[in-house]
Amino acid sequence: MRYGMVISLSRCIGCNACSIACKHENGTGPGVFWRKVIITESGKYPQAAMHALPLLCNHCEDPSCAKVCPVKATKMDANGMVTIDAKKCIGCRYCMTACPYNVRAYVRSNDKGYFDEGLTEYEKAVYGEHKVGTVEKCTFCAQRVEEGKNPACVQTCPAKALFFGDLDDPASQVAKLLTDNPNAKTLKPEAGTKPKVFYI
Amino acid sequence: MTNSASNEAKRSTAGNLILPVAGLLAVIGVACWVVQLIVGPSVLADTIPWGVYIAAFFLLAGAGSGLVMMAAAGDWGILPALKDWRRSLLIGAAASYIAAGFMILLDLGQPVRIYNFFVSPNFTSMFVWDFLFLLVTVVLVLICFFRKETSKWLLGLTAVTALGIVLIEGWILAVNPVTVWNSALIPVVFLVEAIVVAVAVLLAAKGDAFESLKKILIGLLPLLLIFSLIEMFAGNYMGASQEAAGTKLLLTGSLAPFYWGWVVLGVALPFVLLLWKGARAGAVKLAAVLAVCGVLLAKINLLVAGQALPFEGGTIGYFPSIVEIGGMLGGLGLAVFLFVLGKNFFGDAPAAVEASAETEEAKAPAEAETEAEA
Ligand code: SF4
Ligand code: SF4
Repeated sequence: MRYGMVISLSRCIGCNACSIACKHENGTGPGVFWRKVIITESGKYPQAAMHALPLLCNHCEDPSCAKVCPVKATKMDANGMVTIDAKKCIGCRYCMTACPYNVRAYVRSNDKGYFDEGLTEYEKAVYGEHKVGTVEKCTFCAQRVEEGKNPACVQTCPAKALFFGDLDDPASQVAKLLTDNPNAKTLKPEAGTKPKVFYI
Repeated sequence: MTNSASNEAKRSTAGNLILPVAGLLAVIGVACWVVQLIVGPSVLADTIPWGVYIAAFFLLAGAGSGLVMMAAAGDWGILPALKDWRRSLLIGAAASYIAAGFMILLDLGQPVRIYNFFVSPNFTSMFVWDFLFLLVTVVLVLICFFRKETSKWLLGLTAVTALGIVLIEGWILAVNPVTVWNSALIPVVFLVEAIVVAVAVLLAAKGDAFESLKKILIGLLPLLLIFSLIEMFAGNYMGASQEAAGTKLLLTGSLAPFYWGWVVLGVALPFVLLLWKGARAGAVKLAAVLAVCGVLLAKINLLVAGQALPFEGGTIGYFPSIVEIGGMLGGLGLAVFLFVLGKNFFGDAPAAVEASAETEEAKAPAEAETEAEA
Protein backbone atom coordinates (compact mmCIF):
# COMPACT_ATOMS: atom_id res chain seq x y z
CA MET A 1 0.00 0.00 0.00
CA ARG A 2 1.28 3.46 -0.94
CA TYR A 3 -0.96 6.43 -0.25
CA GLY A 4 -0.62 9.32 -2.65
CA MET A 5 -2.49 12.29 -4.08
CA VAL A 6 -3.30 13.53 -7.55
CA ILE A 7 -4.05 17.24 -8.04
CA SER A 8 -5.77 18.47 -11.17
CA LEU A 9 -4.30 21.89 -11.93
CA SER A 10 -6.87 22.49 -14.65
CA ARG A 11 -9.67 22.09 -12.10
CA CYS A 12 -8.12 24.03 -9.20
CA ILE A 13 -9.67 27.49 -8.88
CA GLY A 14 -7.20 28.74 -6.25
CA CYS A 15 -9.89 29.27 -3.61
CA ASN A 16 -7.80 28.03 -0.65
CA ALA A 17 -10.76 26.06 0.75
CA CYS A 18 -8.32 23.15 1.16
CA SER A 19 -5.96 25.33 3.24
CA ILE A 20 -8.79 26.34 5.55
CA ALA A 21 -10.17 22.80 5.81
CA CYS A 22 -6.69 21.65 6.82
CA LYS A 23 -6.43 24.31 9.50
CA HIS A 24 -9.87 23.38 10.80
CA GLU A 25 -9.16 19.64 10.86
CA ASN A 26 -5.66 19.87 12.32
CA GLY A 27 -5.96 23.01 14.46
CA THR A 28 -2.70 24.62 13.34
CA GLY A 29 -1.80 27.98 14.88
CA PRO A 30 -1.52 31.44 13.34
CA GLY A 31 0.89 31.59 10.41
CA VAL A 32 1.18 27.80 10.13
CA PHE A 33 -0.11 26.20 6.94
CA TRP A 34 0.41 22.50 6.40
CA ARG A 35 -0.93 23.10 2.94
CA LYS A 36 -1.37 26.27 0.96
CA VAL A 37 -2.09 27.44 -2.58
CA ILE A 38 0.63 29.36 -4.38
CA ILE A 39 -0.75 31.89 -6.84
CA THR A 40 1.57 33.06 -9.63
CA GLU A 41 1.11 35.20 -12.69
CA SER A 42 2.56 34.81 -16.17
CA GLY A 43 2.54 36.72 -19.47
CA LYS A 44 1.48 40.28 -20.17
CA TYR A 45 -1.90 41.78 -20.92
CA PRO A 46 -3.80 40.71 -22.99
CA GLN A 47 -2.14 37.30 -22.65
CA ALA A 48 -1.73 37.45 -18.87
CA ALA A 49 -2.70 34.39 -16.78
CA MET A 50 -2.94 33.38 -13.14
CA HIS A 51 -1.89 29.92 -11.93
CA ALA A 52 -2.79 28.13 -8.73
CA LEU A 53 -0.47 25.49 -7.29
CA PRO A 54 -1.69 23.64 -4.20
CA LEU A 55 1.41 22.81 -2.13
CA LEU A 56 1.65 20.26 0.69
CA CYS A 57 4.01 17.57 1.94
CA ASN A 58 4.62 15.19 -0.97
CA HIS A 59 5.02 12.15 1.30
CA CYS A 60 8.06 11.43 -0.84
CA GLU A 61 9.15 7.90 -1.74
CA ASP A 62 12.74 8.85 -0.88
CA PRO A 63 12.19 11.63 1.68
CA SER A 64 15.23 13.78 2.40
CA CYS A 65 13.58 14.84 5.67
CA ALA A 66 13.61 11.26 6.99
CA LYS A 67 17.15 10.66 5.76
CA VAL A 68 18.56 13.60 7.73
CA CYS A 69 16.43 13.25 10.89
CA PRO A 70 19.05 12.26 13.49
CA VAL A 71 16.69 10.43 15.84
CA LYS A 72 14.28 8.68 13.44
CA ALA A 73 11.42 10.96 14.52
CA THR A 74 10.52 11.36 10.84
CA LYS A 75 9.95 8.06 9.07
CA MET A 76 7.91 6.44 6.35
CA ASP A 77 5.07 4.23 7.55
CA ALA A 78 4.14 0.94 5.89
CA ASN A 79 1.28 2.72 4.09
CA GLY A 80 3.68 5.17 2.43
CA MET A 81 2.83 8.16 4.62
CA VAL A 82 5.80 10.17 5.93
CA THR A 83 5.08 10.86 9.60
CA ILE A 84 6.73 12.65 12.54
CA ASP A 85 6.74 11.21 16.04
CA ALA A 86 6.19 14.34 18.17
CA LYS A 87 7.40 12.48 21.25
CA LYS A 88 10.78 11.76 19.66
CA CYS A 89 11.45 14.99 17.75
CA ILE A 90 14.29 17.01 19.30
CA GLY A 91 13.44 20.17 17.35
CA CYS A 92 16.75 20.39 15.46
CA ARG A 93 14.95 21.52 12.28
CA TYR A 94 17.40 19.66 10.04
CA CYS A 95 14.36 18.20 8.23
CA MET A 96 13.08 21.71 7.51
CA THR A 97 16.34 22.69 5.85
CA ALA A 98 16.47 19.40 3.90
CA CYS A 99 12.94 19.48 2.48
CA PRO A 100 13.17 21.00 -1.01
CA TYR A 101 9.51 22.11 -0.85
CA ASN A 102 9.54 24.05 2.46
CA VAL A 103 6.38 22.36 3.69
CA ARG A 104 7.39 21.76 7.30
CA ALA A 105 6.59 24.06 10.21
CA TYR A 106 8.26 24.60 13.59
CA VAL A 107 5.88 24.84 16.56
CA ARG A 108 7.10 28.05 18.20
CA SER A 109 4.19 28.42 20.59
CA ASN A 110 0.77 26.89 21.26
CA ASP A 111 -0.78 29.60 23.40
CA LYS A 112 -1.08 32.40 20.85
CA GLY A 113 -4.31 32.56 18.89
CA TYR A 114 -5.73 34.55 16.02
CA PHE A 115 -7.56 37.09 18.15
CA ASP A 116 -6.41 39.77 20.59
CA GLU A 117 -8.99 38.70 23.19
CA GLY A 118 -7.11 35.47 23.87
CA LEU A 119 -7.76 31.90 22.75
CA THR A 120 -11.23 30.92 21.57
CA GLU A 121 -12.80 27.71 22.92
CA TYR A 122 -11.84 25.95 19.69
CA GLU A 123 -8.23 27.19 19.91
CA LYS A 124 -8.01 26.09 23.54
CA ALA A 125 -9.17 22.63 22.54
CA VAL A 126 -6.80 22.11 19.59
CA TYR A 127 -3.55 24.04 20.11
CA GLY A 128 -2.47 21.90 23.06
CA GLU A 129 -1.99 18.99 20.67
CA HIS A 130 0.91 20.79 19.02
CA LYS A 131 4.09 20.21 21.01
CA VAL A 132 6.19 23.38 21.27
CA GLY A 133 9.77 22.98 20.02
CA THR A 134 8.96 20.21 17.54
CA VAL A 135 8.39 20.14 13.79
CA GLU A 136 5.10 19.32 12.05
CA LYS A 137 3.67 18.93 8.59
CA CYS A 138 0.77 17.48 6.60
CA THR A 139 -0.17 14.01 7.81
CA PHE A 140 -2.52 13.18 4.91
CA CYS A 141 -5.07 13.40 7.76
CA ALA A 142 -4.03 9.94 8.98
CA GLN A 143 -6.73 10.12 11.69
CA ARG A 144 -9.43 10.42 9.01
CA VAL A 145 -7.85 7.92 6.63
CA GLU A 146 -7.84 5.33 9.44
CA GLU A 147 -11.62 5.75 9.61
CA GLY A 148 -11.90 5.20 5.87
CA LYS A 149 -12.44 8.90 5.10
CA ASN A 150 -10.58 11.17 2.69
CA PRO A 151 -8.17 13.85 3.98
CA ALA A 152 -10.04 17.06 4.90
CA CYS A 153 -8.67 18.99 1.91
CA VAL A 154 -9.88 16.35 -0.57
CA GLN A 155 -13.27 16.21 1.13
CA THR A 156 -13.64 20.01 0.98
CA CYS A 157 -12.32 20.97 -2.48
CA PRO A 158 -15.35 22.52 -4.26
CA ALA A 159 -13.80 22.00 -7.72
CA LYS A 160 -13.05 18.30 -7.15
CA ALA A 161 -9.41 18.98 -8.00
CA LEU A 162 -7.93 16.69 -5.32
CA PHE A 163 -7.86 12.89 -5.36
CA PHE A 164 -6.47 10.60 -2.67
CA GLY A 165 -5.90 6.87 -2.53
CA ASP A 166 -3.60 3.88 -2.80
CA LEU A 167 -1.20 4.30 -5.72
CA ASP A 168 -0.48 0.54 -5.64
CA ASP A 169 -4.13 -0.40 -6.15
CA PRO A 170 -4.83 -0.34 -9.92
CA ALA A 171 -8.56 0.01 -9.16
CA SER A 172 -8.07 3.22 -7.12
CA GLN A 173 -9.02 6.56 -8.61
CA VAL A 174 -5.49 7.95 -8.17
CA ALA A 175 -3.90 4.97 -9.98
CA LYS A 176 -6.41 5.29 -12.82
CA LEU A 177 -5.77 9.04 -13.12
CA LEU A 178 -2.03 8.42 -13.37
CA THR A 179 -2.57 5.74 -16.03
CA ASP A 180 -4.79 8.13 -18.01
CA ASN A 181 -2.30 11.00 -17.59
CA PRO A 182 1.15 9.61 -18.36
CA ASN A 183 2.53 13.19 -18.34
CA ALA A 184 1.60 13.73 -14.69
CA LYS A 185 4.30 15.85 -13.02
CA THR A 186 5.89 15.97 -9.61
CA LEU A 187 7.54 19.03 -8.06
CA LYS A 188 11.31 19.50 -8.35
CA PRO A 189 12.04 15.97 -9.61
CA GLU A 190 15.73 16.91 -9.77
CA ALA A 191 15.82 16.85 -5.94
CA GLY A 192 15.54 13.06 -6.16
CA THR A 193 12.91 12.76 -3.43
CA LYS A 194 10.30 11.02 -5.66
CA PRO A 195 7.13 12.81 -4.50
CA LYS A 196 3.85 10.89 -4.20
CA VAL A 197 1.78 13.99 -4.91
CA PHE A 198 1.21 14.25 -8.66
CA TYR A 199 -0.02 17.19 -10.72
CA ILE A 200 -2.10 16.64 -13.88
CA MET B 1 58.61 53.57 33.99
CA THR B 2 60.28 52.35 30.79
CA ASN B 3 58.31 51.90 27.55
CA SER B 4 58.49 48.13 27.65
CA ALA B 5 57.42 48.08 31.30
CA SER B 6 54.36 50.24 30.56
CA ASN B 7 53.47 48.05 27.55
CA GLU B 8 53.76 45.02 29.79
CA ALA B 9 51.47 46.66 32.35
CA LYS B 10 48.88 47.51 29.65
CA ARG B 11 49.00 43.95 28.37
CA SER B 12 48.46 42.46 31.80
CA THR B 13 45.49 44.81 32.46
CA ALA B 14 43.93 43.68 29.18
CA GLY B 15 44.69 40.08 30.11
CA ASN B 16 43.04 40.50 33.50
CA LEU B 17 39.90 41.82 31.84
CA ILE B 18 39.46 38.85 29.50
CA LEU B 19 38.22 36.42 32.16
CA PRO B 20 35.49 38.65 33.68
CA VAL B 21 34.30 39.91 30.28
CA ALA B 22 34.16 36.39 28.83
CA GLY B 23 32.50 35.15 32.03
CA LEU B 24 29.89 37.92 31.80
CA LEU B 25 29.13 36.98 28.18
CA ALA B 26 28.80 33.33 29.18
CA VAL B 27 26.36 34.29 31.95
CA ILE B 28 24.34 36.34 29.43
CA GLY B 29 24.30 33.29 27.13
CA VAL B 30 23.00 31.03 29.88
CA ALA B 31 20.40 33.67 30.83
CA CYS B 32 19.21 33.75 27.19
CA TRP B 33 18.88 29.98 27.26
CA VAL B 34 16.84 30.11 30.46
CA VAL B 35 14.53 32.73 28.88
CA GLN B 36 14.16 30.46 25.86
CA LEU B 37 13.37 27.44 28.03
CA ILE B 38 10.70 29.37 29.91
CA VAL B 39 9.10 31.33 27.05
CA GLY B 40 9.77 28.84 24.24
CA PRO B 41 11.24 29.31 20.77
CA SER B 42 8.86 32.20 20.06
CA VAL B 43 11.62 34.48 21.40
CA LEU B 44 13.75 33.56 18.37
CA ALA B 45 13.58 34.91 14.82
CA ASP B 46 10.89 32.89 13.03
CA THR B 47 11.88 33.32 9.43
CA ILE B 48 14.45 30.63 8.70
CA PRO B 49 15.17 27.39 10.59
CA TRP B 50 18.94 27.68 11.05
CA GLY B 51 20.44 31.02 12.07
CA VAL B 52 23.23 32.39 14.23
CA TYR B 53 23.19 29.51 16.75
CA ILE B 54 24.15 27.00 14.08
CA ALA B 55 26.67 29.44 12.57
CA ALA B 56 28.35 29.83 15.99
CA PHE B 57 28.21 26.05 16.47
CA PHE B 58 30.04 25.51 13.15
CA LEU B 59 32.56 28.24 14.07
CA LEU B 60 33.32 26.80 17.51
CA ALA B 61 33.47 23.16 16.41
CA GLY B 62 35.74 24.25 13.54
CA ALA B 63 37.93 26.25 15.95
CA GLY B 64 38.27 23.20 18.23
CA SER B 65 39.22 20.99 15.31
CA GLY B 66 41.64 23.56 13.92
CA LEU B 67 43.38 23.84 17.31
CA VAL B 68 43.72 20.04 17.56
CA MET B 69 45.24 19.98 14.07
CA MET B 70 47.65 22.78 15.10
CA ALA B 71 48.69 20.80 18.17
CA ALA B 72 49.29 17.71 16.03
CA ALA B 73 51.21 19.82 13.48
CA GLY B 74 53.46 20.93 16.36
CA ASP B 75 54.04 17.39 17.60
CA TRP B 76 54.72 16.05 14.13
CA GLY B 77 57.25 18.78 13.37
CA ILE B 78 55.14 20.36 10.61
CA LEU B 79 54.86 23.59 12.63
CA PRO B 80 57.72 23.20 15.15
CA ALA B 81 56.98 26.60 16.70
CA LEU B 82 53.80 25.09 18.16
CA LYS B 83 55.48 22.17 19.89
CA ASP B 84 55.54 23.87 23.28
CA TRP B 85 51.96 25.07 22.89
CA ARG B 86 50.48 21.60 22.96
CA ARG B 87 48.74 21.95 26.32
CA SER B 88 47.30 25.38 25.60
CA LEU B 89 46.05 24.23 22.21
CA LEU B 90 44.34 21.19 23.73
CA ILE B 91 42.71 23.32 26.44
CA GLY B 92 41.52 25.70 23.69
CA ALA B 93 40.13 22.80 21.65
CA ALA B 94 38.24 21.32 24.63
CA ALA B 95 36.83 24.77 25.51
CA SER B 96 35.68 25.32 21.90
CA TYR B 97 33.99 21.92 21.68
CA ILE B 98 32.17 22.43 24.99
CA ALA B 99 30.96 25.86 23.83
CA ALA B 100 29.89 24.29 20.50
CA GLY B 101 27.83 21.77 22.49
CA PHE B 102 26.23 24.68 24.37
CA MET B 103 25.24 26.27 21.04
CA ILE B 104 23.49 23.07 19.97
CA LEU B 105 21.61 22.88 23.27
CA LEU B 106 20.48 26.46 22.68
CA ASP B 107 19.31 25.60 19.20
CA LEU B 108 17.29 22.47 19.97
CA GLY B 109 13.55 22.90 20.51
CA GLN B 110 13.56 19.89 22.87
CA PRO B 111 17.07 19.82 24.39
CA VAL B 112 16.15 17.26 27.06
CA ARG B 113 15.47 14.71 24.34
CA ILE B 114 19.10 14.77 23.20
CA TYR B 115 19.35 11.25 24.69
CA ASN B 116 17.51 10.13 21.53
CA PHE B 117 20.90 10.38 19.79
CA PHE B 118 21.83 7.28 21.83
CA VAL B 119 18.55 5.39 21.94
CA SER B 120 17.35 5.98 18.39
CA PRO B 121 20.24 7.11 16.18
CA ASN B 122 19.65 7.38 12.44
CA PHE B 123 22.96 6.60 10.78
CA THR B 124 21.94 8.12 7.46
CA SER B 125 21.90 11.52 9.21
CA MET B 126 25.09 13.58 9.11
CA PHE B 127 24.05 15.01 12.47
CA VAL B 128 24.51 11.62 14.12
CA TRP B 129 28.01 11.24 12.67
CA ASP B 130 28.86 14.76 13.76
CA PHE B 131 27.67 13.93 17.28
CA LEU B 132 29.72 10.72 17.38
CA PHE B 133 32.88 12.34 16.01
CA LEU B 134 32.52 15.23 18.48
CA LEU B 135 32.17 12.83 21.41
CA VAL B 136 35.14 10.71 20.36
CA THR B 137 37.31 13.75 19.66
CA VAL B 138 36.54 15.37 23.03
CA VAL B 139 37.44 12.11 24.82
CA LEU B 140 40.68 11.82 22.80
CA VAL B 141 41.56 15.48 23.51
CA LEU B 142 41.14 14.85 27.23
CA ILE B 143 43.25 11.68 27.08
CA CYS B 144 45.99 13.52 25.16
CA PHE B 145 45.90 16.29 27.73
CA PHE B 146 45.95 14.25 30.93
CA ARG B 147 48.23 11.43 29.77
CA LYS B 148 51.67 11.62 31.40
CA GLU B 149 53.56 10.44 28.32
CA THR B 150 52.97 12.52 25.21
CA SER B 151 52.23 10.45 22.12
CA LYS B 152 52.31 12.01 18.71
CA TRP B 153 50.42 8.99 17.35
CA LEU B 154 47.50 9.51 19.70
CA LEU B 155 47.42 13.22 18.92
CA GLY B 156 47.64 12.36 15.22
CA LEU B 157 44.57 10.13 15.58
CA THR B 158 42.78 12.94 17.44
CA ALA B 159 43.59 15.31 14.57
CA VAL B 160 42.05 12.81 12.13
CA THR B 161 38.77 12.64 14.09
CA ALA B 162 38.86 16.45 14.44
CA LEU B 163 39.24 16.68 10.66
CA GLY B 164 36.24 14.33 10.42
CA ILE B 165 34.13 16.79 12.43
CA VAL B 166 34.88 19.63 10.02
CA LEU B 167 34.18 17.59 6.89
CA ILE B 168 30.97 16.10 8.32
CA GLU B 169 29.73 19.55 9.26
CA GLY B 170 30.34 20.64 5.66
CA TRP B 171 28.33 17.64 4.52
CA ILE B 172 25.48 18.48 6.91
CA LEU B 173 24.77 21.30 4.47
CA ALA B 174 26.17 19.87 1.24
CA VAL B 175 24.02 16.70 1.18
CA ASN B 176 20.78 18.72 1.22
CA PRO B 177 19.00 19.08 -2.12
CA VAL B 178 19.04 22.84 -1.53
CA THR B 179 20.37 25.69 -3.71
CA VAL B 180 23.67 27.27 -2.53
CA TRP B 181 24.38 24.41 -0.03
CA ASN B 182 24.34 21.52 -2.48
CA SER B 183 28.04 21.85 -3.35
CA ALA B 184 30.98 19.49 -2.95
CA LEU B 185 33.17 22.47 -2.09
CA ILE B 186 31.51 23.21 1.26
CA PRO B 187 33.46 20.63 3.34
CA VAL B 188 36.70 22.03 1.85
CA VAL B 189 35.64 25.58 2.70
CA PHE B 190 34.83 24.44 6.26
CA LEU B 191 38.29 22.88 6.57
CA VAL B 192 40.08 26.03 5.42
CA GLU B 193 37.89 28.13 7.72
CA ALA B 194 38.72 25.85 10.68
CA ILE B 195 42.44 26.34 10.10
CA VAL B 196 41.99 30.10 9.57
CA VAL B 197 40.16 30.40 12.91
CA ALA B 198 42.72 28.29 14.81
CA VAL B 199 45.66 30.22 13.36
CA ALA B 200 43.91 33.53 13.98
CA VAL B 201 43.16 32.59 17.60
CA LEU B 202 46.85 31.87 18.13
CA LEU B 203 47.88 35.14 16.52
CA ALA B 204 45.27 37.02 18.55
CA ALA B 205 46.75 35.52 21.70
CA LYS B 206 50.39 36.00 20.83
CA GLY B 207 50.43 38.79 18.25
CA ASP B 208 53.65 38.72 16.29
CA ALA B 209 55.20 35.68 17.97
CA PHE B 210 54.59 33.30 15.09
CA GLU B 211 55.92 34.40 11.73
CA SER B 212 55.06 31.02 10.20
CA LEU B 213 51.41 31.31 11.29
CA LYS B 214 51.14 34.78 9.83
CA LYS B 215 52.22 33.34 6.50
CA ILE B 216 49.59 30.59 6.73
CA LEU B 217 46.85 33.15 7.31
CA ILE B 218 48.12 35.33 4.46
CA GLY B 219 47.86 32.28 2.20
CA LEU B 220 44.47 31.04 3.37
CA LEU B 221 42.42 34.25 3.51
CA PRO B 222 42.43 34.87 -0.26
CA LEU B 223 41.68 31.17 -0.77
CA LEU B 224 38.32 31.66 0.96
CA LEU B 225 37.50 34.43 -1.47
CA ILE B 226 38.56 32.26 -4.41
CA PHE B 227 36.25 29.46 -3.19
CA SER B 228 33.38 31.92 -3.08
CA LEU B 229 34.11 33.05 -6.65
CA ILE B 230 34.35 29.43 -7.85
CA GLU B 231 30.93 28.66 -6.36
CA MET B 232 29.35 31.71 -7.94
CA PHE B 233 30.93 31.13 -11.36
CA ALA B 234 30.04 27.44 -11.49
CA GLY B 235 26.49 28.11 -10.35
CA ASN B 236 25.84 30.92 -12.78
CA TYR B 237 27.65 29.76 -15.91
CA MET B 238 24.63 27.94 -17.35
CA GLY B 239 22.25 30.48 -15.91
CA ALA B 240 20.55 28.01 -13.54
CA SER B 241 17.87 30.29 -12.16
CA GLN B 242 17.98 29.21 -8.51
CA GLU B 243 21.79 29.42 -8.34
CA ALA B 244 21.68 32.81 -10.02
CA ALA B 245 19.10 33.94 -7.46
CA GLY B 246 21.44 32.82 -4.67
CA THR B 247 24.34 34.79 -6.15
CA LYS B 248 22.14 37.86 -6.63
CA LEU B 249 21.03 37.64 -3.02
CA LEU B 250 24.66 37.75 -1.87
CA LEU B 251 26.05 40.29 -4.31
CA THR B 252 23.22 42.81 -4.60
CA GLY B 253 20.29 41.49 -2.56
CA SER B 254 19.41 41.55 1.12
CA LEU B 255 22.61 39.70 2.08
CA ALA B 256 24.89 42.10 0.16
CA PRO B 257 25.91 44.24 3.19
CA PHE B 258 26.96 41.05 5.00
CA TYR B 259 28.68 39.48 1.99
CA TRP B 260 30.66 42.61 1.14
CA GLY B 261 31.26 43.17 4.85
CA TRP B 262 32.91 39.75 4.91
CA VAL B 263 34.97 40.49 1.78
CA VAL B 264 36.25 43.86 3.07
CA LEU B 265 36.48 43.37 6.85
CA GLY B 266 36.89 39.61 7.11
CA VAL B 267 39.29 39.00 4.22
CA ALA B 268 40.80 42.10 2.58
CA LEU B 269 41.58 44.16 5.68
CA PRO B 270 43.20 41.37 7.72
CA PHE B 271 45.12 40.32 4.60
CA VAL B 272 46.54 43.84 4.14
CA LEU B 273 47.32 44.19 7.86
CA LEU B 274 49.21 40.90 7.86
CA LEU B 275 51.17 41.86 4.74
CA TRP B 276 52.17 45.20 6.25
CA LYS B 277 55.87 44.82 6.98
CA GLY B 278 56.14 47.32 9.82
CA ALA B 279 52.90 46.19 11.52
CA ARG B 280 53.02 46.10 15.30
CA ALA B 281 51.71 43.23 17.39
CA GLY B 282 48.44 45.16 17.88
CA ALA B 283 47.81 45.27 14.12
CA VAL B 284 48.43 41.53 13.81
CA LYS B 285 46.01 40.88 16.66
CA LEU B 286 43.40 43.10 15.02
CA ALA B 287 43.85 41.21 11.75
CA ALA B 288 43.38 37.92 13.60
CA VAL B 289 40.19 39.06 15.36
CA LEU B 290 38.80 40.35 12.04
CA ALA B 291 39.58 37.01 10.39
CA VAL B 292 37.61 35.12 13.09
CA CYS B 293 34.66 37.53 12.82
CA GLY B 294 34.89 37.15 9.02
CA VAL B 295 34.53 33.37 9.25
CA LEU B 296 31.49 33.76 11.51
CA LEU B 297 29.95 36.19 9.01
CA ALA B 298 30.74 33.84 6.11
CA LYS B 299 28.97 31.00 7.92
CA ILE B 300 25.90 33.14 8.64
CA ASN B 301 25.83 34.22 4.96
CA LEU B 302 26.06 30.63 3.75
CA LEU B 303 23.36 29.40 6.13
CA VAL B 304 20.94 32.21 5.34
CA ALA B 305 21.53 32.14 1.57
CA GLY B 306 20.62 28.43 1.52
CA GLN B 307 17.32 29.03 3.27
CA ALA B 308 16.30 32.42 1.93
CA LEU B 309 15.01 31.14 -1.41
CA PRO B 310 11.86 29.13 -0.67
CA PHE B 311 10.28 26.76 -3.16
CA GLU B 312 7.27 29.01 -3.56
CA GLY B 313 9.41 31.91 -4.85
CA GLY B 314 10.56 35.25 -3.45
CA THR B 315 13.13 35.65 -0.70
CA ILE B 316 12.93 35.33 3.06
CA GLY B 317 14.68 37.91 5.23
CA TYR B 318 16.46 37.07 8.46
CA PHE B 319 17.65 39.08 11.40
CA PRO B 320 18.49 37.36 14.68
CA SER B 321 16.46 38.28 17.77
CA ILE B 322 18.07 39.86 20.86
CA VAL B 323 17.93 36.47 22.60
CA GLU B 324 19.75 34.80 19.69
CA ILE B 325 22.44 37.48 19.64
CA GLY B 326 22.88 37.14 23.43
CA GLY B 327 23.00 33.34 23.15
CA MET B 328 25.57 33.44 20.36
CA LEU B 329 27.83 35.92 22.20
CA GLY B 330 27.37 33.72 25.28
CA GLY B 331 28.67 30.68 23.41
CA LEU B 332 31.71 32.58 22.13
CA GLY B 333 32.32 34.04 25.61
CA LEU B 334 32.00 30.57 27.15
CA ALA B 335 34.78 29.24 24.89
CA VAL B 336 37.16 32.05 25.94
CA PHE B 337 36.13 31.77 29.60
CA LEU B 338 36.72 28.01 29.74
CA PHE B 339 40.04 28.40 27.95
CA VAL B 340 41.40 31.06 30.32
CA LEU B 341 40.05 29.17 33.32
CA GLY B 342 41.60 25.92 32.05
CA LYS B 343 44.93 27.60 31.48
CA ASN B 344 44.91 29.17 34.95
CA PHE B 345 43.89 25.91 36.59
CA PHE B 346 46.06 23.42 34.75
CA GLY B 347 48.85 25.77 33.73
CA ASP B 348 50.33 25.74 30.27
CA ALA B 349 53.67 24.25 31.12
CA PRO B 350 55.09 22.91 27.91
CA ALA B 351 54.62 19.22 27.31
CA ALA B 352 58.40 18.98 27.24
CA VAL B 353 58.43 19.14 31.04
CA GLU B 354 56.88 15.69 31.23
CA ALA B 355 59.09 14.84 28.37
CA SER B 356 59.61 11.60 26.66
CA ALA B 357 62.68 11.16 24.47
CA GLU B 358 60.45 11.88 21.47
CA THR B 359 59.66 15.34 22.84
CA GLU B 360 63.28 16.24 23.38
CA GLU B 361 64.19 15.32 19.83
CA ALA B 362 61.64 17.67 18.37
CA LYS B 363 62.56 20.52 20.71
CA ALA B 364 65.56 21.59 18.70
CA PRO B 365 63.68 22.73 15.56
CA ALA B 366 61.08 24.41 17.73
CA GLU B 367 63.72 26.50 19.41
CA ALA B 368 65.39 27.19 16.09
CA GLU B 369 62.19 28.67 14.65
CA THR B 370 61.43 30.73 17.74
CA GLU B 371 64.94 32.17 17.63
CA ALA B 372 64.75 32.84 13.91
CA GLU B 373 61.44 34.65 14.45
CA ALA B 374 62.92 36.73 17.26
S1 SF4 C 1 7.75 16.96 0.85
FE1 SF4 C 1 9.42 17.49 2.24
S2 SF4 C 1 8.59 17.00 4.26
FE2 SF4 C 1 7.29 15.96 2.80
S3 SF4 C 1 8.18 13.90 2.61
FE3 SF4 C 1 9.05 15.15 0.96
S4 SF4 C 1 10.97 15.91 1.82
FE4 SF4 C 1 9.73 15.20 3.55
S1 SF4 D 1 13.25 18.55 13.90
FE1 SF4 D 1 12.46 16.62 14.65
S2 SF4 D 1 11.67 15.57 12.83
FE2 SF4 D 1 12.99 17.23 12.12
S3 SF4 D 1 15.03 16.31 11.84
FE3 SF4 D 1 15.01 17.17 13.91
S4 SF4 D 1 14.31 15.48 15.19
FE4 SF4 D 1 13.80 14.90 13.10
